[in-house]
Amino acid sequence: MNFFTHLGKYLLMLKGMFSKPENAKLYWKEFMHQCADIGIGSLGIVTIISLFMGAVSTVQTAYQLVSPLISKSTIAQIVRDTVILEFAPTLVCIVLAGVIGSKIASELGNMRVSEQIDALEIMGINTKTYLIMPKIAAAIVTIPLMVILAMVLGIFGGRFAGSAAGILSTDTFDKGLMESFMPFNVTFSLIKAYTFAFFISSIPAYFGYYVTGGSLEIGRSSTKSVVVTCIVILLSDYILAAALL
Amino acid sequence: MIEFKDLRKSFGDKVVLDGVSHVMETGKTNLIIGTSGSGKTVLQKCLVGLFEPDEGEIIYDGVSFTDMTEDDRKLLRQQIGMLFQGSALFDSMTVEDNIKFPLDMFTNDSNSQKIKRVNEVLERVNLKDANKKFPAEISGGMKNASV
Repeated sequence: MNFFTHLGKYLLMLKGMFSKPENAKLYWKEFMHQCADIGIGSLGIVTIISLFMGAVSTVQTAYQLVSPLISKSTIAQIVRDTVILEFAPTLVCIVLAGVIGSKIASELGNMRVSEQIDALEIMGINTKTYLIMPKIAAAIVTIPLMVILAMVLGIFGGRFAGSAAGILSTDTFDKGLMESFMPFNVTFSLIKAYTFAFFISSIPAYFGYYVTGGSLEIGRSSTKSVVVTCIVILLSDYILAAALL
Repeated sequence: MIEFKDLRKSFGDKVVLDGVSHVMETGKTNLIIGTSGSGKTVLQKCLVGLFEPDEGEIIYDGVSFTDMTEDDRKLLRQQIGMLFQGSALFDSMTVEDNIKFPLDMFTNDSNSQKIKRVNEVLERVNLKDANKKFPAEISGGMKNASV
């Protein structure tokens, strides 16, 4: 199948999601279940990545800024902007594409191969609405929240590493954090987070929903979905940066 | 009555159904027998709309299934029962929750009414102690019975 066939099928899948739920209560339950699965399930990895990326950013920025003419608080500014603009939304979302994406693709793929999706169709349930919509909605709600958490923890990690390594004091770091802060950076980062959240959930859902074959194909489809999602994230990252900054 | 005329279905170069026609009359039991890979499942899946035939027509009580809207098909499917080869139970749900699922989705009955109904059907197929078991914990025959 060529690129346009996949794109057309993907768009039709998205269009097919928008139908009236058979039972709103059950859909809400599924949405909440997905929020817990996607959001709480990924909190641990997001926390670890964020703390370390902030810490490494501080140490490496200090290593490169050797000029005595540049004040130490500049390190905090660079760490803040790098974490907010790029690391928190993009790096975290690429990791989440692996964690959440493979889970969504393999879950739906397994349901397809074991005929659970066919069984739901026979019951008269719109499987796209019931299985895919709650996943996308949950990702759009929880991933930006995790990106905000990653921003906070990343900066905290940088602050901690800076003082622990004797690079700069916490007071100097805090002073640097306040200097020339642009609130739009946070807005831009959240725009990226919402965009990536949509791709992280919808692309693996497409690969899982339309899988054919057996367990081997589920694995292949899951890997393929993660690779495609990462490429789309990086491409949209560039497009958004070029268009909005 | 279910009638299908000149059904054709291919997957790539492989022709699975090549002009199959038959009338299944009301009140009669019909058996579809064939060798492995001869297209029995594909024919059944075409009849319920899980596969779209490449050519041909399917008629339910004089109404063309092929021309039905997706909403009309959904209504018709609610009257059809289908037993899948792999039983198609939801792995993450207990037997009780699997049976209760369509009741949760399509009825406004109270939970106790639904449980009562579940217990009735489980008792009918001699599975009254399997309520809280997961599909992985029961045998293939028990899975088919619970479907």
